Amino acid sequence: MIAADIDRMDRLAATGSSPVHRASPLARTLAAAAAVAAAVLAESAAAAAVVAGIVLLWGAVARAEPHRMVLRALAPLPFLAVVFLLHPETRPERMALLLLRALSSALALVLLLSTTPFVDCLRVLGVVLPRSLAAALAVLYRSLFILLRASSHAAEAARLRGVRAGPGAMVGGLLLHAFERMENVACVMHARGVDAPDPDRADALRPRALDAVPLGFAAAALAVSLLSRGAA
Amino acid sequence: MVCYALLYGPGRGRAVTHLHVPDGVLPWWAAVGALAIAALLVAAALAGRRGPEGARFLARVGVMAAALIVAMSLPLGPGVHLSLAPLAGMMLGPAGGFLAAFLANGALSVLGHGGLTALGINGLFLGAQAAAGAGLFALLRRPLGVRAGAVATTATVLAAAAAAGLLAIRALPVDADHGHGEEEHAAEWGVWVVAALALAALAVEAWVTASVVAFLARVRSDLVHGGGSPRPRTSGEPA
Repeated sequence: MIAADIDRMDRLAATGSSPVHRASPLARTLAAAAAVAAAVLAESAAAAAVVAGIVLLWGAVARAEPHRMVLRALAPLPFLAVVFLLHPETRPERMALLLLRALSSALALVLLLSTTPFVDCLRVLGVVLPRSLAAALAVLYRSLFILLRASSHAAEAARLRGVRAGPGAMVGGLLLHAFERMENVACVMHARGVDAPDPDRADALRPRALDAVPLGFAAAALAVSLLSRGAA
Repeated sequence: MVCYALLYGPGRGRAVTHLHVPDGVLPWWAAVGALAIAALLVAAALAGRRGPEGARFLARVGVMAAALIVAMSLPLGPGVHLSLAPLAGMMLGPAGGFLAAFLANGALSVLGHGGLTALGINGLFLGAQAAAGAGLFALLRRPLGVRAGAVATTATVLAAAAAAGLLAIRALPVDADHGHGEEEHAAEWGVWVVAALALAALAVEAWVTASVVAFLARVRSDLVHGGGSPRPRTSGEPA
């Protein structure tokens, strides 16, 4: 399932042509960060719900499949279920606030990845991250697709042959495949130069006319959140 | 946070990957403090990684982090999945394992799990399991052998992580305005439920990790940290 999700988000980010997609990667990343801040700073469940609503509207403008965004952003629920199980004194309104904060923030990040190719996010993050860390993240993202495909092929092959392989051979085989590929990736990284500056970074940071779209949504979310704090 | 919990995603019939702290739960000082500590550890793990060996290390870390995410998405039964953090440590050593776990958490946070502001805590929690897995496995593999050493390491690390996770969640100021009262008994019940789930998942993870480490030790022992010598490099590879 994660393979389909990542594939779909990546395709949306790479092929989208909405006003949000045409904003600069820098504006989209800053807007997502501001939306996460808005979610975390919300002091009431109503404010957090409005922030979530703004992010969903933003997702609709970006044609990023808001209904799927919601499903993808439900992953924090198990942790919160455990928290509430261990803290039965938590009031319902507090539970609602924590749920909506986590949901809004996850929505903002899913939206970022549904509108901005990962490589563009890395170009922006590369301003603050060490190059070696950005390089490792780039390898991670590329390897993710390769490994997901390999694991799906292995599972399908085992199913078709009626083989019930143990976890050692299945997971170990997958890791073996990953590490053998890693040897090649290391060669390529060495040949290209891990420390070489990215020639396309300047373009990712250049302001564009439609930057106001994601930044406007993020400012609205932040304003709602700060107002809720003022009211509290 | 308890990375091997057995919970299913609502309404989708898919296994939600490991529990990690989402945004908006931690007090700001805990989030910022943990992020600062994690940043220092990441910087220490990256220090001096230059040249061909540095590139090889980064590629290993990146691929292992991707493998962690893939492993977390492979259901092994109803809702059961792996975290493989101790395994990352056993394969890459403490620094590489920590980095891989940290990066896997970072990537998961933008793939729908949230937790960007809790990246420090999540990274430290999973990274500590990887680093502890590396250290403990190095101690136990000689006296116990590869398979038993991996089982003992994984069980110890994950049990300690589960206990620490439970204590940390209990200590979280979730609803500071509301005092603890009659709910104490209910909370105790909750602890037992979560502990039982964690224990079951721990057993599965220990078995899988041991199988994987034994398989790799047999097939390519250089991939297990402290294992045999690396395979000979071909002429096209960096020296």
